[in-house]
Amino acid sequence: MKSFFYWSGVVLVALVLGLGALAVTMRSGLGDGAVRVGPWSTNLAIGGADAGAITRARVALFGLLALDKKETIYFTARTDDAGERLSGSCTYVLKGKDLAARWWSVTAYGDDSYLIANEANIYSFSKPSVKREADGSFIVRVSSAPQDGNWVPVAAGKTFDMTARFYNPDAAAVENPSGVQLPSITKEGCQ
Amino acid sequence: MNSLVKFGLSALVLAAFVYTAALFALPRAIMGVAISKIGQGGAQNVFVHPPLPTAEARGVVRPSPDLAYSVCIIDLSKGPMQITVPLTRPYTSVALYATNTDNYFVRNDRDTGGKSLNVIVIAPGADKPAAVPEGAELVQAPTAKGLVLVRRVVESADAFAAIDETRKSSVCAPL
Repeated sequence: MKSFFYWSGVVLVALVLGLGALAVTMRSGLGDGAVRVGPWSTNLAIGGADAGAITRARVALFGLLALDKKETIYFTARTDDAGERLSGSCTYVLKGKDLAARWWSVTAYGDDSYLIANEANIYSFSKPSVKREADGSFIVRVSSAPQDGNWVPVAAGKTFDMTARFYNPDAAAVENPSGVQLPSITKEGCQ
Repeated sequence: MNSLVKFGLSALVLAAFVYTAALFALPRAIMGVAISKIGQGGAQNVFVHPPLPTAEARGVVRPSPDLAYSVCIIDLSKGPMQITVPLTRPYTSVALYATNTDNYFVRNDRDTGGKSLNVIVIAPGADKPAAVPEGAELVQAPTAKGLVLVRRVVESADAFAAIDETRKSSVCAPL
């Protein structure tokens, strides 16, 4: 009987330690191979068969069915340029130029990694859809309140993140992803 | 040996095993759930063409609202599968995924020079089929089960109807 309790104890402690360590690993960013550009980050092992076990598990959790980097590079931002968590209670101004790809988009996601419900049915802006300034650049506002010009709605009171997709990225972007240009994210004000 | 040290060491060794096993199982389990969600009651070896993703789309995390997806769950255990995908502008791609989530094959419209994307997929270890249709690319899958995902860029709501019509002629069927 003593031995039964003893080994049950060992198993219990091992489960807590093993699964706890896994949970910590899964939450600690993108891990090895992470590339950062301002608040945006990516992991070039995403989708590829060369992804390590940890990257593969993270992708399964946070970006299932992604494509490999030659086909698509995904950058995600969870904070603004100042490093503060993106909040649906604030208005952000994104300023940028065309991303270095054949086709590109920037999409807002809720904390559950799904699209954010809104009456305007707007979830993203993209190469063909974004309205541009005279020099070809764009200014987009991300806010729970309707905005003039380019607007991506988010949910007040909830945090969110944004993913930029580079479909068929330019060769320079594949070779040196840390050199790509991504929109700046500046907080304009909060409710 | 001190019994407490022995307890701690046993737990640590077992914890390392739990960690490794869970790390291995996690992507496979998540892919299994996704396949069963997408398969909608066991639709296999046939394309499903869901509408453009909205906030209601809850099948797979982080869908792009600008892409029309088509999905085919494949089972190669009974023989090769033929995948034929007509192209739409400005972007169409065919991606194959193994049950551990790896994207082991992808081609887009630029790769084929404007012709439709044709792929023959065979099971791991399977022999080459006697006849591969002309213009088709032969791919050996790392797992017998898997998923085919077609992505098409939809530039505007108006463009969707024509793309939807074209994608319905896609083929995902035993060779």
